[in-house]
This record gives sequence, C-alpha cells and structure tokens, in this order.
Amino acid sequence: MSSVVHLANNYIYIASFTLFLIGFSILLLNSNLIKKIIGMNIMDTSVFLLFISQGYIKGRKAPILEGGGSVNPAEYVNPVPSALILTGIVVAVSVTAFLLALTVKLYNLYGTVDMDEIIEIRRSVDGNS
Amino acid sequence: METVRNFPVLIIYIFFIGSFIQPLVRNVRISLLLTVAISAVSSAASAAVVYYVRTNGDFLFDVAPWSAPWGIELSIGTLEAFVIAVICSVGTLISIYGIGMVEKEIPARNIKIYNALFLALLGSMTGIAATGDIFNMYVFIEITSITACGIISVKDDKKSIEATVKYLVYSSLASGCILLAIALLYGITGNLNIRYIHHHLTEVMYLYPRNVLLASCLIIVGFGLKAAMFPLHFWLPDAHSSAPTTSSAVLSALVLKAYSVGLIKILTGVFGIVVMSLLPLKTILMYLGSGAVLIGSLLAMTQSRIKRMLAYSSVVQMGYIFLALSLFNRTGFTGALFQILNHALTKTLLFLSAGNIKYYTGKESIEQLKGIGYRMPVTMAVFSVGALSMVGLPMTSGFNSKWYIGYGAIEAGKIGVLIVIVISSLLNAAYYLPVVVSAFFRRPSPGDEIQQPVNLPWFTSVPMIVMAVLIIVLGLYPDPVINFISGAAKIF
Amino acid sequence: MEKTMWLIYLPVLLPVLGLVLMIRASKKYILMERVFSITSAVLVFIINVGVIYWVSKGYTVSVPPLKVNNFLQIHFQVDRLGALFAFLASLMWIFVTVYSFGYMRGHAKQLRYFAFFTVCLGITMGIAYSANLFTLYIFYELLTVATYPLVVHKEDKKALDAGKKYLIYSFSGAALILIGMILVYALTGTLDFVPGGGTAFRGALPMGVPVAAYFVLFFVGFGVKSALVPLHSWLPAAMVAPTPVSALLHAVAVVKAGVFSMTRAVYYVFGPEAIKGFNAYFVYIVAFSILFGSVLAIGQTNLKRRLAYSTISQLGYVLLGVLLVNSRGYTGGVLHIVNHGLIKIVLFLCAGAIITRTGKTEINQLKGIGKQMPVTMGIFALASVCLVGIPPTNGFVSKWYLSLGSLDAGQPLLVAVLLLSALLTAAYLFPIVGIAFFTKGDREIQGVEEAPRSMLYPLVALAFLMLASGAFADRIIDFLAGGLEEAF
Repeated sequence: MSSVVHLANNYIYIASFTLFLIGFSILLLNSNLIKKIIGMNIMDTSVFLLFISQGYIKGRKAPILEGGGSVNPAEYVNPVPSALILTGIVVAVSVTAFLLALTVKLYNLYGTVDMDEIIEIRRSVDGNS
Repeated sequence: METVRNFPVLIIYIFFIGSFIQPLVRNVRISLLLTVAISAVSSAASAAVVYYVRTNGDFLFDVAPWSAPWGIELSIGTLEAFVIAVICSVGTLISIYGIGMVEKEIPARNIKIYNALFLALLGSMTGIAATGDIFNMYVFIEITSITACGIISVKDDKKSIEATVKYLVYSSLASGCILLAIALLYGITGNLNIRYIHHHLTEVMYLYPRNVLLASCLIIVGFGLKAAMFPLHFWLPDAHSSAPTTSSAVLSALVLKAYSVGLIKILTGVFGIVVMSLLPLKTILMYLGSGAVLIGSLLAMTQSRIKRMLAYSSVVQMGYIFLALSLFNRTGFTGALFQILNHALTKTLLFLSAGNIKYYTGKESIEQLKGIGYRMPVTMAVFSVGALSMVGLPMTSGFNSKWYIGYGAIEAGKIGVLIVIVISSLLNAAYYLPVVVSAFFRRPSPGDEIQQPVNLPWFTSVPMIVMAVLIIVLGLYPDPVINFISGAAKIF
Repeated sequence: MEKTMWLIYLPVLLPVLGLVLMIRASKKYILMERVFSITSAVLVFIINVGVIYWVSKGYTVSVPPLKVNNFLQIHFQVDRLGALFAFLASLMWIFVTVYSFGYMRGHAKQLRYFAFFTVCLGITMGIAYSANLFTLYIFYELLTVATYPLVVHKEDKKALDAGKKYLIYSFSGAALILIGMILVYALTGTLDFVPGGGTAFRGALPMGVPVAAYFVLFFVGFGVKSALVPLHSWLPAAMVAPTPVSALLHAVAVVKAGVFSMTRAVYYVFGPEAIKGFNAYFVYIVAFSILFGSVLAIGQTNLKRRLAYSTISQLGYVLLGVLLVNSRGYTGGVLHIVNHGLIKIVLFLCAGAIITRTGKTEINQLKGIGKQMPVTMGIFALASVCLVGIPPTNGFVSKWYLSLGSLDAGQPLLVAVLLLSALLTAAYLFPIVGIAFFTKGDREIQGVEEAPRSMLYPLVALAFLMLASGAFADRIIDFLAGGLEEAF
C-alpha cells in the first residue's frame, strides 16, 4: 500500500523515467533515422522534465518580478533549473539540427533514411564493412 | 604570476574566438595558420598553468563575478593542468601537420569549417578538464561531441557521413545518460558545483542510496561509451578510420582522453573515494579493462587496413587506463595519467604516419606496405618508434606506462592485471611489428619498386619527428612528468 | 674497490655513433660502412683492454647510475664476469667484422648489414656492463630488435619466417623476464646485481610462494635466448642468416648474452644460497638439453644446422656449470663461455668459407674438400678436437671443471652425461672431417680454391686464440677466481 502511495507521490520521476526509457530505446533500436532523432528528443526532453520539476516548490509563484513585487526569494520557485534547461534545450536542438543535416546527406547519397537498408547497400556495393 | 590564474579561461576563450573567426578568414592558408597560431599560444599558456600549479598548488577560479555555488568556477589542479597541457600541445602538433595535409583529404569548401570545428573541439576539451561545475561540464561534453562528429563528417564522403551518424547517435545516448545522472544528483543535493555536491552527498547519500547508485551507473555508462570503454567501444573503429587523418589523430589521442578525464573528475570529485569504494568499481573496471585489452588486441590482429588496426589499438590503450584506474592506488593512477600522455603522443604519431602513407602512395592495407620503408624513410622510421612504444620496448614512453601500471598492480595485489598487460604487449607486437617488418624487410610487389624517397615538407615531418623524439625522451627521462602527475593521486 | 671511469659509456655509445656516421658518409663515399664498423670494433676492444686491466687489479669499474624514474635506474658497473664477457665479445667482433668484409662482398644491402652489425656490438657491451636487472632488460630487448634485420637479411620467405619465429620466442621470453623483474622489485625493493644475491631470497617469502616460482620466470625467460630445450627452435631456424651473423649469434652476442644473463640471475639476483635448495630440477632440465642437442646434431645434413644443434648442446654445458652452484662448476661454466665462443666461431667461419667458395651447404656434398681448402678444413678439424674435449685443448679444461663441479655437488650422473655428450660431439663432428679429407671429391669440388684472404686471416687468428685459451686457461681461471668469493 505504502509503495503505491510512494509511487503516486513521485509521479514526476515515473513519467520522466518512462519517457527516458522510451526515448532511449527508440534511439537505440529503431532503424529509421528520423525516428531515432525523435527518440533522442524524447529522451532529452524527459530529462529536462525531471530537472525542471525539481525546481518546483509547492505554493510558490513563478520567478518573475512584476512591477513593484517583493524580492524575497522565499516566495518564488527555484529559477536555476529552468535557466539550466534553456541551455540544455539549445544543446539538444543543435544535435538535432546536425543529425537532420546528416540525414539529408545520407538520403541524397543512398535514397533511404533507414540505417539497416543503408548498411545493406554499403555491404553489397563495396564488399567491406 | 597571479595572472596565470586567468589562463585556463583565456585558453578556452581564444579557442572559441578563433573558431568563430574562421568563417571570416580570407583563404584556406590563413585559416590553417590561424589554427596553428591559436593552438600554439594556448600551449604556451597551458605550460604557464602547469608551472603555476607546480609551484602554487591547486586553485579555483570564478568565471563570472558570482562565486560558487551560484556562479561557475574552474577548478584547476595537477590533473587538470596536465591534461590541458597535453591537449594544447598535441593539438598544436596536429595542426602544424594539418598545414600540409588537410587540403589533401578535405574538400576545399569545408576547410574553414574544419578549422573552426577543430579549434572549438580543443576549446571544449579544455573546458571539460578545467571546469568545476557538472552542468558546465555537460555543455562542454556536448560541444565536444558535436565538433568531434563534425570533424569526421567534414570529409563529405559516404563512409565518413555514415560513421558520423553512428557516432553521433551513440554519443547522444551517452549524453542523455549523463544528463539524467546530473539531474538526479541535482535533485538530491541541490548543487551543481563539484565540491559542493561532494559535500552534500556525504550527508545525503544514505537517504537516497538508489539515486546515488543510479547516478553513478549512468555516469559510468555514459562516459564509458564516449571513452570507448569495452564493451561500449563498437562505434570507434568506423568513426576513427573513416575520418580524415588529422581528425583521427585528434579523436583517438585527445577526445577519448578528455572524456576519461571527465569521468575521473566526476568519480573522484563528486563521488569521492568513499562512494567509489562502496560501488564494485574496482571489479568492473578491471574486467572491462582486461576485456578491452585482450579482445581489442585480438580484433586488431584481424584488421587488414592500417587505420582500422590503429583504431582498435586505441581501444586497447584506453583499456590500460581503465585497468590502471581499477587499482585504486597512487602508482596505478600515476600510470593512468602517464598513459594519457603516452598514448596521445604515440597514437597521433601513428595516425599521422598512416596518413602520409595513404597520401603519398595511396596504400591503405598492411599487405601493400612491402618495402615502403625505403620510399618513405622518415615516415616509417617514426612509425617504427611509435610501434615499439606501443609494444613497450624499454627506452620508450610506452614502457614507462606499462611499468607503472604493472607495478601498481603488484602493489594492489592483483598479479592478474600484470599478466594481462604483459600478454597484451606481446599481442601488440603481433599486429604492429608486421607493419614495420613489411615496410623495411620485404621486397616491394612488382610495379611498385623504384622511386626516390619521398621528400616531406617540413610541416609534415617536423611534428612527427618531434613526437618521436618526445616518446624516446619520455622513455628515458620521465621523471619531471611523473613527479608532477603523482601529485594528482592524492586521494588514494 | 670502485673506480669511476666515464670511459665505459663509450663502448656502448661508440657503435651508435659509428652507425650514424656510417649512414651519413655512405651517401658520399663508398665502403664507408666497412671503415666505420671496423673502427668502432677496434676502439671498443681497446677500451675493453683498459677495463679488464683495471678489473684484474681488483677494481670494479663503474659510472654513477642514471635515474629513469623513482624505481628504475640505468647503471653500468663492470665486474670480473662482465669484463670477461665484454673483452671476449669485443675481441671476436673485430675478427668477424673483417671476415664479413670478405663474406659480404657482392651481397645486397651492405649498409644495413654493417649498420646493425655495429650497433649490436654496442648493445652487447651494454648487456655486459649492466649493473642491474633493468639495464640488462633494456639491452636484452634492444638486442632482439637489432639482430632481427641481420637474421632476415636475405629477405626471402625462409628468412622472414625464421625472423618471425625469432621475434616471437625472444619477446615472449622477455615478457617473462619483465614479470619476474617487477616481482623481484616488489619483493626486494631493488633490481641491483648484488654478489651473492639478494638477502630477501634466503628466507621465507611472503604468501609462501617458493623462491623457485620466481626463479622459473627468469629460467624460462633467459632460457629462450640460451637456446634451452624446448625453447631452442628459433636457433636452427636462424641459420638462414649470413654466416658471420650465425657466428655472431652462436658464439658471441645473442646466446652468450642469454647464458650471461642467466648467470647474473643465479649469482647476483637470487644468490647461490637460495638456488641451492632447488637447483637439482633445473640441472636435469639442462642435462636433457645437452644430450638432446647432441643427438639431434647427428641427424642434421645441413652443416650450419648441425653446428646450431651443437650450440644448443654446448650452451647446456655453460648452464650446467652455472646451476651447479659451486665454485668449480661456476669456473667450468664461465670458462666454457669463452672456450665454446672461440671454438664455435671458428667452426662457423670455416663453414662460411666453404659456402663462399663452393656454394655447398650439405655435409655429404663436401667430399674431398680437405684437399682444396686444407687450411680451412685443418682448422675445422682442430676446432672439432677442442670441442670434443680431448686434452690438452681448451674444451678439455672447461669439461674437467664441470665434471669436478658435478662431483662436488654429489651428482656423479652428470659426469656420465658429460662423457656421453663428448662421444656424441665426436660423432657429429669427426665424420665431417673424415668426409673432407678422406674421401674423393667430385669434379665440382676439385676446382675450388682456398678461402679468400680476408676470411682466412681472421680464421687463422681466431684458431690461434682458441689454442691459446687452452694453453693459458689457468690465467683465465685465476682471473675468475678473484670474483668467486664475492659470488659465493
């Protein structure tokens, strides 16, 4: 009983880990490059979810100063994780962009975005791997 | 003297500034020279840092006006100063070689981009080594991943693009793991600064043992994959062998090291010796290291092309580092650090020679190298020095690495590690020496004879000769280096 | 008494200098390789004369050690054993170098040959002068690397295969020595050669590991280069090398370095006290090697291979003397290093002369050659007599001491082994002499001339030395005796 309560209390962790595992396995196992990229994004986003959620403190406001609002840090949610994740998102976007560019190149060279097919083509064409 | 404290940050800055200037540069020549210039300046600066650390000890440096834990700080100790110096100096040597050879392998339109990526790569590796904040390290790790993949794909042919995709995909997997670990650690300690996390971790460890365990596993898997720790090394042969020569050199010699240094920093800095002892790290690293060494050697023996053989050899050499780390004693740790330097020099030398051979004779496969020693005497001579260093002939730096790791193994009571190392020296001989023998002692195939010895331009031969000389000097007189780096083993 | 003589770096470094000058000068002038190789050999010998003079007066000639790292040092120190080996090696080197001038005339890649030939001299000096295991190990490994190009000189398939075998055996042996070295260092804290061996080995060792276990590593490791059965098969294979190289490998450099290093291990690392407990096992392995080599020698039809197996057997004599761990056995063993060196080199040079003049390599092809090459075959016959050990030759003196040593150690069976081996030696050497002198030659042989002068003169000189070492054996024994007390 208590374990169920325990799990329910930590729903963020569960969601995050589930998404991480989904993204991880897509990235690893699926042979279609586009899907791999989507998987990578799911994986990264799940970690962002975990990170940001750890900044949330119950009952406090978002850390935006409005007009003559108070500067008491105890009234606001922890802003650090959000700031960090912005960096993280940028990183994820860069890697995604790079991977997409490479995918386009591979498509131009091989006519497919499926990694298994590409390996087959390579193996049959030049007989070495 | 105190200005030297700024140098690590400055080194990172000028690498990146240099990288950003590259697209503005007028022509390819200037682009290559700019790379050399910036690397050279960084090397000088890193030497100053080493000297500073030697006389004044470790130091912390706040990058911005906010000090830790709100701001990012750099933590420069013996280990970091040493690794930065290795990165900058070997990078300089590679870039000098690049003056002549980059244009031969990379399409002209991509060379400026290549140089930009190269400088950014060196800068981000320095960042991994220098930083004291784990999220900052993550950012640098990502930059390293992207630029490392970039310098492979810049060659723009089928093989390299495919290898790049593979490398980037696995690298992203690893980065995801590392990021998750950082998230977990942040969750339980509320800090991102290594020192602060360590401090809090010792208090919080028993409240959240699973988080700590999971985080450490993710760190090991993540960094392990990036540093080609067996059995997560499978991406390496394709990536390193289909890259342009200078890129292969940087990847094998420096990038793998930067990641392993990151691993060392996090394990020893964040987790500390207490947690490390609780985890079955010694056993894991020892078995994985031995696997790397033995299986990597066997795989290397089956390769017919030089570059692939050298790539598998990198797996073996990284295995030595992990074996040395698994011993958990000073001598072993010193051996691991010395091996970082040794492998950086030797593998760069070997890859650059292989590049020369490929360019001047078009030959890639070991079988075809018969008699080539007389056509490219300088190249094959330095290749032989590198090969003998890999085998562990005394008077080369490779021997010293093996001595320290072997001696550390005895001190730790693990004679099995010593035997693995000695067996691997013999296996190394089995795939390196045939190249040397073929080159000097076999008659060239018909249609190949002749020819005047090739005259190498100075910027191709000088870096290689310098490295060969360094290998021998470090073999005979490694004392200054050893004395310096043994200071890094304080935690054991 | 110690005497510091910076000069002893020269015999090690001079040949390297000779090598460099040789390569540079060859670009402009011809025959430079010969000039520099003979000059290096002569200079090294002169220095060794000086060294052996001081050593015979009771000094130990040394230089301060060079620190490589916290554990390891490169240290040269010449004691009687080392001085004897160095003197012998450098002396014989001069003659073989001159002989090479004649033998290698017309062959390809002479520069490479003389270059590595000269460097091996320096490396052998390094082995002789080593004061600790690490220095010995360095030069031991370097010797393998430097002799390889000489072994594969012909560059045909047989040569390359032989070379590969040689490397595999040598490096494997060296790997065992490396393990042993690290273990010895961990146990005793030093790698220095101490007369009488390290004290750590006299008592019980940690973890109850018997001393014999550590010694085995060295026995097998050095045993490879000493052509100990069953680690010997590289040696007959290496006969594909040019004959001066075979002479070198068999008489001076490689195999003698092997037994020399074994002597160092027994007397200066482990010490007689420690070895006494278990030497019986090793002695019988060596005895087997002695007989095995002789028996197989009889079956060989190729002249050089027969001499190779003979060497395997004769090296067993040296190891026997060393492992008996008593003063007469030691004397016999070390004396045999000198004697066998001279004898075998003479035998090989004769073989080389025959090959040069007739192109024939098989013994049954040599019918009647004694008539055409009387000096060569006469010396061959003389050397055969010496090797069998008929008094008053040098071979007899060393075997006498070995027999006495065996009796001292209470192993009369070994005397029987020695006698049997002497008979077998006669069985594989005298028939050659018989065929040469007492059968009628065929037409091919009848047209042959005596060996060329550049080969004949060194041969005769070495033959004189061989006889002299028998006549003056007592001088050598006295020289050794000075070092005996400290070793025991």
